[in-house]
Amino acid sequence: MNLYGISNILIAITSSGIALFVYVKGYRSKLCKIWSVFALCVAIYGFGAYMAAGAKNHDSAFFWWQISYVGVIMLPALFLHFVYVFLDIRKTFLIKIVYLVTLVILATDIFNKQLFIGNVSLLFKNSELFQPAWWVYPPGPIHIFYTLFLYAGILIYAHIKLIRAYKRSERSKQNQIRYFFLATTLGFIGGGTSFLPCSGINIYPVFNITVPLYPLIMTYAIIRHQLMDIEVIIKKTIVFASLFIILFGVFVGITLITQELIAEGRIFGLAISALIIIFSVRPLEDLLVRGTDKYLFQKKYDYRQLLRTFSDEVLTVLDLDMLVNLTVNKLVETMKLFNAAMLLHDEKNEEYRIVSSTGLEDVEFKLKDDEEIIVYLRKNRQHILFESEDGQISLSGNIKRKISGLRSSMVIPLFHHKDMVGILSLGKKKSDEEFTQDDFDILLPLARTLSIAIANARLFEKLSVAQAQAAQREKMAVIGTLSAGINHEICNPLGIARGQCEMFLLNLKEGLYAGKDPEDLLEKAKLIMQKVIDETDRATVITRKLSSFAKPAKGKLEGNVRLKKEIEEVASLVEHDLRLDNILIVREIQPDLPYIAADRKQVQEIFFNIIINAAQSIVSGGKITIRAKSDDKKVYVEIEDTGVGIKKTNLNQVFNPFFTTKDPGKGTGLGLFLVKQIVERNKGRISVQSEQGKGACFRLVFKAIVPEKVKI
Amino acid sequence: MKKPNILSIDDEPSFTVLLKEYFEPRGYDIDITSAGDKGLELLHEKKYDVVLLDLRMAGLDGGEVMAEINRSNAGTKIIFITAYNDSGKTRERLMGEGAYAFMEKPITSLKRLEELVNRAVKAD
Repeated sequence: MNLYGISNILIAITSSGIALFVYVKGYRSKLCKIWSVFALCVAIYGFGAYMAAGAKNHDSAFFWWQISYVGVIMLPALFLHFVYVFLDIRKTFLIKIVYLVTLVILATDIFNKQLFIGNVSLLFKNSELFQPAWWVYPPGPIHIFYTLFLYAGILIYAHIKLIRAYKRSERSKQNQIRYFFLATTLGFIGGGTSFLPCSGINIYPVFNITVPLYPLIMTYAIIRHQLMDIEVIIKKTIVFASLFIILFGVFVGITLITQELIAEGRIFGLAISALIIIFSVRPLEDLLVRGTDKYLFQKKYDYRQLLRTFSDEVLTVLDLDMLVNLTVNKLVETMKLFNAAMLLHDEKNEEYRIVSSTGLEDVEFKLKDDEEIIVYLRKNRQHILFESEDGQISLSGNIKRKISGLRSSMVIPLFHHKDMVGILSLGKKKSDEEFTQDDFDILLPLARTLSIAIANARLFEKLSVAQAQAAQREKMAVIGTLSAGINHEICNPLGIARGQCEMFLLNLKEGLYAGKDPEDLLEKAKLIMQKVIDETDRATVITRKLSSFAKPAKGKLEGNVRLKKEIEEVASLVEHDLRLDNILIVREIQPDLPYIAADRKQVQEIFFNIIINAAQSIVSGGKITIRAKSDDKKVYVEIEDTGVGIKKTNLNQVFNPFFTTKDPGKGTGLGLFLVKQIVERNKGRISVQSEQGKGACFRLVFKAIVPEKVKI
Repeated sequence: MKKPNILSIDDEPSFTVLLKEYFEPRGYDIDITSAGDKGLELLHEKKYDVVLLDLRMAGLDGGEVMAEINRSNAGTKIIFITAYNDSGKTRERLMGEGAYAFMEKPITSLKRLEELVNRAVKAD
């Protein structure tokens, strides 16, 4: 087989494959239909030329050239038609004429041997490398007409159309037109060299080898039709072409050398070439890809992989703030965007508000629910591309002005079920490239994943808030039941202070102090005032404790929580009340207990709940022992009671929500559940040990903070 | 007329001291204690006209002390003075069980307490 034969068989294979592929991919689009017929014609040309050039005799060569030219003759008309559809030119008169002329020429090719093909001859008879091949020579008059007017003429005309359109077009379309030029150079000019021998110019059509690249590039441009990345295709072309040239060189070189050396050289050479090609094609391709990446494109396309990985990660982030910030930063960083922003729906204010952004001046940007663009996004559930004409939307200037604060190149709505939970806005790429189909292939699934992640994070947030509220309610309820102790500590001082003053005044009024030494009286008054002050202070202490205790927790971990102090605070609050029920609190707390990282209020809640729970389990008098000790790494707390204990069967249920052994209405069953949640939120662990009738012991472990790390 | 004998039982010592300081100069015979069982001991030794009784106390609480008084010291009037408030439930129960009056802490007037004590004695 000669070089021309190889190039033609390549053309036939790639083009027929492409014809089928394009048809299946885009059978609804007119552009794709035309293109698949075009590719089919290229395939016919390739196959016919392959058969013709290597034909055994004159007649056979003639027949196959006739077949081959059926494909060739169709090409200019189809290309023109394609350009018209692509550029959306509505006038079809010229196309009809060209198709008519094409039909006439086709007829001459098939029915008249002299007019079109003329004759065929064996050319390149002396070529050792390429071997002789049958060619159309000398061509008939129609062949000459075809070559000059249809092939060259229409090609030039169509390209003038393209150049004009290029100037008017939006960037994405310009990008596509650039592909066309690249493809045409490789295809039509490469293919055009096949005409040279027909005209008696005996230059071997080496460039025919570039023809298979032509439909490949065009197909890529059509399939990835909305937008594309010219660099990627150029890169792929370079890799492919280099690979081919190198392997072909190996093949030719080895064949020549072996032919010189051994008699059965050709077969031997083929075998060696095949082996070399099989073993070197993959590493060679890798090498070329790496080389082009390194020297031409500096690996900037790796972001796609990064984004894919990010899609997987994003679902595990449950903190909404972190999630949105992470997303925006990751996108800006990996896609090299000028700016990006995430807007989330604010149900209360009926608006979408920026929750995270990079590269924007207006970080407070918001869009009301009834804004045109929101209505549009909600209705269409599709992304909008702002810099492209073939984005399916023509946006009113009003919308564009409205969202100019976002400086978006595209916005992607984030839908979770029926709700549009947010909007992702992406600014221009710093490389000034368009967003391509490849980008969409990653961004759109990422948006779907994000929607789920946002919904999850929101749910988690709501749940945390609900849990915090439940904890607060529980706490307030228990404080209510503690009112005896609290009243005692407030009402007594108040009553005493008031009583002391009232008594002094009454004594004065009723003459009880009559005849007393003013010095004595002053002493008396001083004494009373001191008592009043002491009692007021006493009441103040308890109200302070109570109000600080009743405050909801902040939910932030601080590194300087002293367990001993917090336990003491809670114990002192409940102690009086418990004493009335003859329950004694015993403290066995190591004096130099290290700090823990926790939320102070939440730690109070934990001990409050456990102590109250313990007290409730004690029927008539008993003891609650609070022990705390530490080692280098951990702080251990035990709260042991002498109550009724927990049944073995219930032991693993006590931390479950709504599990209670109390009478209906007496307990919510949330106390210990909340305790466990709060303990875990504060990086601690809790467990319980109990035997029925012998009390229960709750064990808590917190991470100790090493002294030098404590912020004071 | 002889002024009533008073016993004050309250687990808040400063409160009993206040009562003592008020009632004594006004001619009342008043004993004070901060524990229920101690109060019962005093009741065994001496007859009191009025007992000013706290409700919630460690050890014997006010309810138990009243039950004991009702059993062994008929005629002694009991006035509860307490910070305990469960929207009147306990108050009703105790009044039903024979308490003479129920006063909430903080007491708003010593004068009124004094009048109450006098009324309690006259009530028979």
